[in-house]
Amino acid sequence: MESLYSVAFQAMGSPCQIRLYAPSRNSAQSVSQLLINEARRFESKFSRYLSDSLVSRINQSQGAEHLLDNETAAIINYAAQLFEQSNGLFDITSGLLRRAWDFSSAQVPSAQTIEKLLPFIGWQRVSWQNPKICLPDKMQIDLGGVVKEYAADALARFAQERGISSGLIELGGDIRVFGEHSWPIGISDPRQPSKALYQLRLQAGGFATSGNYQRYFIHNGQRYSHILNPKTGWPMITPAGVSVVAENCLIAGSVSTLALLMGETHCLQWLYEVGLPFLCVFNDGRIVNEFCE
Amino acid sequence: MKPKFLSVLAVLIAITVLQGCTHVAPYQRGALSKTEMSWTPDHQDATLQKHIYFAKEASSGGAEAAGGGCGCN
Amino acid sequence: MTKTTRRKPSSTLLALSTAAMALPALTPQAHAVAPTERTLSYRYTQYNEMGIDAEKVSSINVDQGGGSSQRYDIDINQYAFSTPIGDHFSLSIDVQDEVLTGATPWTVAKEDVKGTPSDVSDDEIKLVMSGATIKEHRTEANLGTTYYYSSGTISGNLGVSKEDDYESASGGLSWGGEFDDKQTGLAVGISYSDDTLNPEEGSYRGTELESKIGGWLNGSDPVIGTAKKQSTSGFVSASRILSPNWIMQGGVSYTQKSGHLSDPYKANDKRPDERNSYTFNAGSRYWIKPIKAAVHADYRYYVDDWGIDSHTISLALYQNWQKLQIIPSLRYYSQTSASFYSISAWDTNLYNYYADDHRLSNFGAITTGLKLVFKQKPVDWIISGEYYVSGADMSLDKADEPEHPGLLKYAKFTFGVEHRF
Repeated sequence: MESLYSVAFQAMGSPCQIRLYAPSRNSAQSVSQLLINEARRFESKFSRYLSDSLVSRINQSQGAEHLLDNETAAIINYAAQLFEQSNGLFDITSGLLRRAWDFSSAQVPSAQTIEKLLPFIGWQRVSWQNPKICLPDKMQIDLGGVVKEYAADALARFAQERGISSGLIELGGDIRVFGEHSWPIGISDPRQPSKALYQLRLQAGGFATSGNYQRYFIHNGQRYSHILNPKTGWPMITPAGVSVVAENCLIAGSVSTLALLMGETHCLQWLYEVGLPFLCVFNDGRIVNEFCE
Repeated sequence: MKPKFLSVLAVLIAITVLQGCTHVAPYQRGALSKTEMSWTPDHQDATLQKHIYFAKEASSGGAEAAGGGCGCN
Repeated sequence: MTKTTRRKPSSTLLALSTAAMALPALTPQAHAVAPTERTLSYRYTQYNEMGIDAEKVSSINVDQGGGSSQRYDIDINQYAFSTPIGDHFSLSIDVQDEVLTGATPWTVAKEDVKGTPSDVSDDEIKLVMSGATIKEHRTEANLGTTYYYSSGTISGNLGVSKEDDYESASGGLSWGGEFDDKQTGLAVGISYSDDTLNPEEGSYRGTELESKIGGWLNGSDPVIGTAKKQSTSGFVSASRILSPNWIMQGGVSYTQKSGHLSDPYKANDKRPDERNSYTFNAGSRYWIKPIKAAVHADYRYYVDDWGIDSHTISLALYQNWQKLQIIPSLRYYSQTSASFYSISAWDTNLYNYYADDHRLSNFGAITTGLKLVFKQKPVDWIISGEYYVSGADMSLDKADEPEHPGLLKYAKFTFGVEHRF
């Protein structure tokens, strides 16, 4: 008889959990440990905060060319696809803008500060010939927008390959479930994160939420979200939160992120076009729920 | 008997048509991919079963690949 | 439960899915298409037909080496092996070996053979049986291969079956495809078999019985040396996913048989040399999530130009309980008789065709079964039992003739083991 075993841990700067149906505590523990190691491997490879990560080394390459391994090349290639599909709004080089926007100090930077950064932002400036990347000097990449989601999928596959037939992987709100069980997933209210808006049941798929409630500040009555437009360097007016269910967590995460980037006025139309089940919460509290029957 | 059979078929077709517009995404097909949900979960069992009924009853065949004959009929 | 609003995948989703597929953890899992496991499987089955009440067996031939009240007992050994070959092919080998012993009905007679058919009443009808000396050995081998490509499969198979008095060679080709985001499946296939009959043993010919009853036999459809028969068939079927827990299918098939279709082991049996049949079938698989069980329901309607039509309904429940799968099943079958069938075939010599084979009579049958599968990864242990009972009164149609005394009851017991690696 298989029972449910859970373990919580911290990785990629977020609370994470693994829930597995396994025949014994021992087998659940040994597989969980392998999964946690795998999550740490993703972190040490792709984190921009760790100076010896692959991403940091690329960022410090000062215009030199890097030959990437399969996994990294496929992630970069996927990010390039997101850039294209979002007309340049999803851009892994936009992280540099954080130098101007310090959301903890709630200061609006001067237009000049932002202007100075813009020449070093824009994926179109990067020479990307799969699997070779050449990042112009002073430019930086940040894979934060895809790696966590992908890692949830990778951990799920990893568990399946080690004989776990059913389970849930959650890495900081990005969820991938696999196998026969369905799992209750609560969506919290962007304005009051402790309050649940809706609960869905997910079986064999991915779930992700993007929102402007995670980091923002209010200055002179204006709500500045942490979602920055890489073309202008200024925060965007986005819906408060978008949750999406897809075949895997990476697609769910990308679609919810792109929906946010489409802005409050265009996101609904875009989401309907994509056609995945979603729940969208607007800043005025309006909810469009395309999860329920 | 025949009218009864036709009405059963009509109901089945109606259900199929009514349900026709539901889209079931690949990630919702966990249950459908189980062995016990397949048309013939145990092919050795099915082969022997078919062989015996072929030998003992007058009807045979179906919408699947047919095998060879035997001297039992 | 979630719903989607899309009719077809959007270009954005398609672009993202394609790019995502290049990622190591998101490449489609190979077993979604071609199998990745090898399986080795063995089954032993004991099939026992119940003996016939002694009072239903004709006394005509008791002293002539016939007159057994036993029927067939068959021991069956099945071996199967399947393996993937590369990423796109699979190969399967099936071997079935049977040893059959027992006796078979030669014809039906009234104890008073001079009686007229119209007077025939149930208790006077007796089976003229062979002696319990028949021993047959049949070996069948099938080789199949399937090619898996992105949206479908192509399969081919070749088979041979050999008995002392019968040989069959067969082959088939089929194609299966998926459409509409793999929600709809279509399959078509054709198959052919070429059979050679060489009847000897077990026949009443050359026994004392022939001289004794030969006088009132209508005569049969003799096989001089060897005889041939062919079978050609084709099918089309479609399946559709209706919900995350429900899939249905429907199909049509056509079979043409030609050649020596009479049973060489019957005394009164002369059948047309062609038979055209059609089947219409529908099937449903439903997953009951709260109890982790799959419900199978299948229906088949069969009709042929010998005047036979039949209904078959099969139901099964695949109930999972811890490492055990418990599968109770029920099958109901009902057929009408062939137009040339008569229980008093000895008196039908006015007709071109005649047969008193119980398998061509009007009858119904019920099979009840129970199967247990112990899933002890990577090995499955299987035991199953089945009981079959048939009778004229179980038919959907009322027969205008008395019940054939040869209608069958049998029990079947199977033990099996299956290893995946």
